[in-house]
Amino acid sequence: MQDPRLRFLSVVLLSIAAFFSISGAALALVWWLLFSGGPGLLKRSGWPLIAFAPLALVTISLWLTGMEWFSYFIRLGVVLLIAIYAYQDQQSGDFIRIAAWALGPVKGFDVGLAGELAFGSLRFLEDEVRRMRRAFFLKGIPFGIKSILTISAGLVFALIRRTDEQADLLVARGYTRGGMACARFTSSPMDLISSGIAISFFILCFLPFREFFILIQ
Amino acid sequence: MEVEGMELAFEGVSVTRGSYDIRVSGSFCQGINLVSGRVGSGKSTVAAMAAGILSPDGGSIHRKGISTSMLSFQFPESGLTGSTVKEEVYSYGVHDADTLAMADLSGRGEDDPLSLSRGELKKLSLACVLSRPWDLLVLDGPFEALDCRGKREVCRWIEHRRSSIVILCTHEQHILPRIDALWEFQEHTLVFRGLVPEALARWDLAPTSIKTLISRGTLPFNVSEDDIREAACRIQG
Repeated sequence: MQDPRLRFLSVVLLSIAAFFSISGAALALVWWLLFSGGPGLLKRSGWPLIAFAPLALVTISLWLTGMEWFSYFIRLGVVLLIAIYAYQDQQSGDFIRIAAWALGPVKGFDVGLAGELAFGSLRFLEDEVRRMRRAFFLKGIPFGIKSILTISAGLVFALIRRTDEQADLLVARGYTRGGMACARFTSSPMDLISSGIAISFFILCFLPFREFFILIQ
Repeated sequence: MEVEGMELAFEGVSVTRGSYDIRVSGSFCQGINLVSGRVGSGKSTVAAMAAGILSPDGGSIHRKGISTSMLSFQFPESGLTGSTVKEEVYSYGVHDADTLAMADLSGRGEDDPLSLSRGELKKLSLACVLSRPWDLLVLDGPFEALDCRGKREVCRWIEHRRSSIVILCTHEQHILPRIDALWEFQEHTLVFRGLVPEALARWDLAPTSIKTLISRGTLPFNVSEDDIREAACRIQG
C-alpha cells in the first residue's frame, strides 16, 4: 500500500477482527491472501516467522492442559500474519508521517520519531542476523539455535551501542524536543479498495447477524 | 599446498542493481588478480559472487579445483562472529598469539572487537584471513581504513598468497602489491585487461604515476611502489 494511513487503519481493524472471533480471523486471512502478497511476502524475509515460536509454545500448553487451543492458535496466528505484513510493508518515515498527520507536526514528530527509532532497531536486528549468518557461512561454522543463543548477547549490546550513537546524533543535530514534519500522502485506487474491504470485514465481523435472522423468523 | 589448474569462471554473469546491471564474464586463475574500478562500479558485488554469498540473476559461476575459499569484507564489522578478539581469531581456525601479533594486538585478546578502531579491526580481520591458506581468497577493499604503513604490510601478506586465486577488489591507486592479472570495470561491466605488465598499457583507470611513465615510453614491470620507482629510474637513465 502506498498510503501508510490506510495501511495502518486496515492493520488495526483486521487485527481486532481476527482477535475477537474465528470468523473475523478467517476474513482477515482472506484479506491477507488477497492484498498483502500472502506467502510471497514471507519469502522476502522469513525471520519474522520466529514470532510464531512463542505462539506455538502457548498453544501446546493450552492443548496439554485441555483448554481451547484451536481458536487461540487460529486467531493469534492471523494477527501475527497481519503484523508481519505491516512490518514488511513499512517504509522508513511512515511512522513520522502518520503521527504528524494524526497529532500535528510538532507533537506528532516526537511520537513518530520514537516509532521510527523502534522500527529502525528491528530492521537493524534483522540486518545483524543476516550479516552474522553470512559470516558463519563463510567461516564454515554451522548456524543454528546454538549460534543464535551465542550471538544474542552480542546483538543486545550492539543494539544498546546503536541507541547510544543515535542519541549522540540527535544531540549533534540540535534535537532537544519536538520538531516539524510536514506529511504528504498519495493513495492509489488499490489502496482505497483494499482498505475499504478491510473496513467491511471489520463491520461484518461485529454485526449481530444471528439476532437479525432470529428477528426475521 | 598448491593445487594445479584452479579456476573461478564467470559465464555471462549479471546482477541487477537498481537501474543498471553489473556484468562479468571471464576466468580468474591462480595468482593475484587486481579488480579495479570507480566507487560504485560493482567491485563488492563481484567479490560477494566470487565468495559464494551472492547468487547472480543471470549466467553461472563455476569453481574448478577450489575446495576452500574466504572473503575479507570491505567493512570488517561484517565478518564478526566472536564477542572477544580472541574468539574472533579462533573463528577463523587460526592460532591466536601469532595472529594477534600480526595485527599488532598482542595482549588485547579479551577486548570486545567492536571496541577496536576501524583500522585495528580491519587489520585484525585481514590478519585472520591471511594467516591460513585458501584456494580462493577474495579481498574486498583491503586497504580501506589503513594508514600507509598498514597498507604496505598488507601488500606483503597478500604477495605470499600467490599460489591461491586472489581476487583483490580495490580503488587504491598508490600502494599495491605485485599483481599477475588486471581486471577493470568499464561502467558496470568487468573487463579482463590481461596479464601484467602488458595489461598496464590498456588500463584506463591506471594511477597517474603509471600513466605518466607509459606516456614517457617506459612500461613498469608491475604496480608496486618498488616497480614504479624502478621504472622512473629507467627514464632518468
